[in-house]
Amino acid sequence: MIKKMILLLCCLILMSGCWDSRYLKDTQLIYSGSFDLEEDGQVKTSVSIPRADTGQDQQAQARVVTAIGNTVRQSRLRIDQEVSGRLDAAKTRVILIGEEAAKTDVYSFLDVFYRDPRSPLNAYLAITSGKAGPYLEVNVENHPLVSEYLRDLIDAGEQATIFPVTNIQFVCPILFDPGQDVILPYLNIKEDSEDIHGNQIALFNERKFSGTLGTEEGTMLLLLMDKLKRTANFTVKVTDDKYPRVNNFITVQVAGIERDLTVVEEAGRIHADVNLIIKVNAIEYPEDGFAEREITVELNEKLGEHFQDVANRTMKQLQEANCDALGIGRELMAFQRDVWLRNTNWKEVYPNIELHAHTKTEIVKHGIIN
Amino acid sequence: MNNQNQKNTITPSQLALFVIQTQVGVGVLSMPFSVFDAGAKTDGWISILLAGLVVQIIIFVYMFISKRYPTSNLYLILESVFGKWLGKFLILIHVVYFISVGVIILILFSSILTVWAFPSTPQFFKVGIAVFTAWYLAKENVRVIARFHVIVSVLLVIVILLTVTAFTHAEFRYVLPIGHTGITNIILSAKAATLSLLGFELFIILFAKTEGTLKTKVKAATIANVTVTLIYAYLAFTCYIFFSPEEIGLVPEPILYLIKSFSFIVLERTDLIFLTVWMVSVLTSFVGYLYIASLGTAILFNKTNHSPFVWGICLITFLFSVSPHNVLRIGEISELISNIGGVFSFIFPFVILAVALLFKRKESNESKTGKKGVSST
Repeated sequence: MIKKMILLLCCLILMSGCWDSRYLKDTQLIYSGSFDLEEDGQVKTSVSIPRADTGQDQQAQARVVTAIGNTVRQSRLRIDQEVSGRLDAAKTRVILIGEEAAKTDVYSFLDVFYRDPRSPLNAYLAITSGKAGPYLEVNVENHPLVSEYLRDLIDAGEQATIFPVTNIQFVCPILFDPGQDVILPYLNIKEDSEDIHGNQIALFNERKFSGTLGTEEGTMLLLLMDKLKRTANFTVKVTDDKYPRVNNFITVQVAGIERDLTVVEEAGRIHADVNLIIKVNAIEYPEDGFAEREITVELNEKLGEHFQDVANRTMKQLQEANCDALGIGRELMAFQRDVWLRNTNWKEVYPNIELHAHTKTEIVKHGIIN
Repeated sequence: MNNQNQKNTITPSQLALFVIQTQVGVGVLSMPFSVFDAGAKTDGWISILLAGLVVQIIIFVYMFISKRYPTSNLYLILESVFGKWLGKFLILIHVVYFISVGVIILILFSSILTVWAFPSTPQFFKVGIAVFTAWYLAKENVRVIARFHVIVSVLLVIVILLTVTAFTHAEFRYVLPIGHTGITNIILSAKAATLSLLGFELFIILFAKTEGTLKTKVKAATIANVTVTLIYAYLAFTCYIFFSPEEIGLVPEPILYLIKSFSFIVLERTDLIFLTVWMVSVLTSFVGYLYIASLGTAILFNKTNHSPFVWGICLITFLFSVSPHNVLRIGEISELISNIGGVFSFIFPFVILAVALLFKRKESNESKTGKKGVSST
C-alpha cells in the first residue's frame, strides 16, 4: 500500500510537465496581425495586442505594435523585443495582408503559420485595399477590440455568401494546386468614412493577388462555385418608371441553388459551362402582385436576365484576373486527364477557354403577402 | 492476481485486438504521406488495400505452419525447423530485430512529441515515461496485456471520429481519376504500405497461446487484418481528399495536420487530443514488441518466464533511444529497420514453411512434452 502511494506521488510530480508550461500572465496574446511590404522588399508586421492593465469595469483596449524585418518571423521577433512578456500567436483571429504584399506571393507570408504547430490555422485571412497596418488601428464604436470587429465582419460576410469560407489552412491545398485558384475576402476603407467595408472578393492568380470582384459578382461567383451559405441577397432593378423610385426594385434572397459544371474539349478548345438554377424568395417588392401568374413570370424573366448579366461579368473578370476559382483545371485533371496532360501550361490556356455561365431563376416564395 | 496469472491463454477476440493495437502505432501518423511519397500519389489508399491482401496471404502461411506446430510459438518453431544452433541464432536475430523496432518506436514517438507538443521537455523524460509504463504492463502475462489492449481499443473509434470532420471540407476531385498513377506505382507503393502494417508477425507467436481451433484463430486474424487495412485505407483516403496532391508532399504527418485545421467551440487544438490518444496506441505497440522480444530472450536462455527479461530489454531500448541522433539518422535507421522488417515478416514465413515441408518437420511429441512449459509462457 505504502509502495503504491509513493508510486502515485512520483507520478503526480512527474506528470505535471514543468518544461512546457506557458503561463498566461507571462504571455502577450496576439489577436490579429497584418503584413505589408516595404518599398525595399522588407516585411512590415503589425500586431494588435489587448492591453493587460485594463481593469474589470474598464473596456478592453488594444494596442498596435509594428516592426520591420527581412522575414515575417524576424519582424515578429522584433515585435517581441518591444513588448513585455512573450508574444504568442496561438489565439490570433484575423490575419490581414496588404494589397502590395499579396501581389508578390501570398504563401511567403503564410509559411510561418504552416510550420509552427502552435499557430492558429483556423484564423481568418483577408486582403486589404492599400496597406494592411492601418486597418488594425481603426476605431470602431462598440467594438473596443478591432480584432473582434474584423472577425465578426468576416464571419457575417461568410454567412451572407459575400466572402468565401476560408481560413489559413483551407487556402493551403488550393495554393498548391495547379488546377485551382484561391479567392479571399477583400476589405477596404472608404474615403468618406472611417469604417471598414467588407463586401468584395480578392482574386488570385496562383499565389499572386490579381484582381477584385464587386459584391454582386462576388456572391454570384460563390453561387457558381456551389458555395451558398446561410443567405445571399440581391437587389435588382426590374422597372424604370415607377414612383417612388423604390418601387422599381425587388430584393430577393437565394433560397437554394442547383449547379452543374461541365467541361468538354471540342476542336481543341476547352468549353466550361456552369448551369445554375437559382431559386429565390422575394423579400421586398412594394409593387406587389405575385398573385398574378403573368407578373411572377415577368419578374422571373427580368431577374434571370439580370443574373445572367452578372454571371457573364463574373466569368469575364475571372478570366481577366487569370483566376481559376471554379477549379476548371482540377475538373479536367479529375475527369479528363488526357486533356489536362495536353494543357499543362494551364495558366496560359485558362484565360482563353470558353467559360460560360447559364443561369435560370425562379421565384419560389414571396413572403406572407402576395 | 494469482488466479489471473494461471491463465496463460487468450481468446481469439483478444488475439485480434492485441495484434491490431500492435500494428496501429507510431507509423499511423505518417502512413498516408509515406505511401503517397512512394509513388502511388493519391492512389495510395489502393496500395494499402493491396498490402492488406499480401498480409492476408502471410496469415494463411502462418496457418499452414501452425497446423504443423499447433502448440509452439515462432521461436520454438525456429528451433525445431532449423535445428538447435541455427534455430537459436535465428531467435537471436529476431529478438534483436524486435528490440530495434522498439527503439525506433521510441525515437519517433519522442521526436513527434517534440515537434508537435513538448518542444522543451527533455527527451529522456518523454522516452522514460513511455518505457516505464510499458515495462509495468509488459512484465505481466499475455492475458493481462491482451486485456489492456482490448480496453484501449475504444480509442480507435475516437481516431476515426476526429478525422470525420475533414469531410466537411473535402475535395473529392483530388483523388480522381482513380488509378491514374498506374499499376506499377501502386504496386511499388504497396511495399511502403506493408511496412506500415508491420506487427502482424505477432500472430505466429500468439497463435499457440490462443484458445480455440485453428480455424477460429485464423478467422480472428483475418478480422484483425481487414480492420486495420480498412482503417488505414480510410485515413489515407481522408488525407488525400483534404490536402491537394501538391501539398501532401510538404506534410509528413498529414493526419495530425488535418485534425489541427479544425477547431470546435470549446476545443481549440484538437490535434493535442489526438496526440494523447495516439500516445496510448504507441504504447500498446511498444508493449507488443517488448513482450515478444522478452519471450524470445526467455526461450534463448531456456527459461519459462518472460517477465525477468522485460526490464533488461526496457533498459536497452531506453539507452539506445536517448542516445544522440539527428533527423537524417532517424530517417535512415527507421527505413533500414522497416526494410529488415519486411524480410522478417514477408519472406521468413515462406522459408519456414518450405523447410518444414521439405524436411517433413513437424511438432514432435518429444518437443511437445519437453518444451511444454516454455511454449505456454
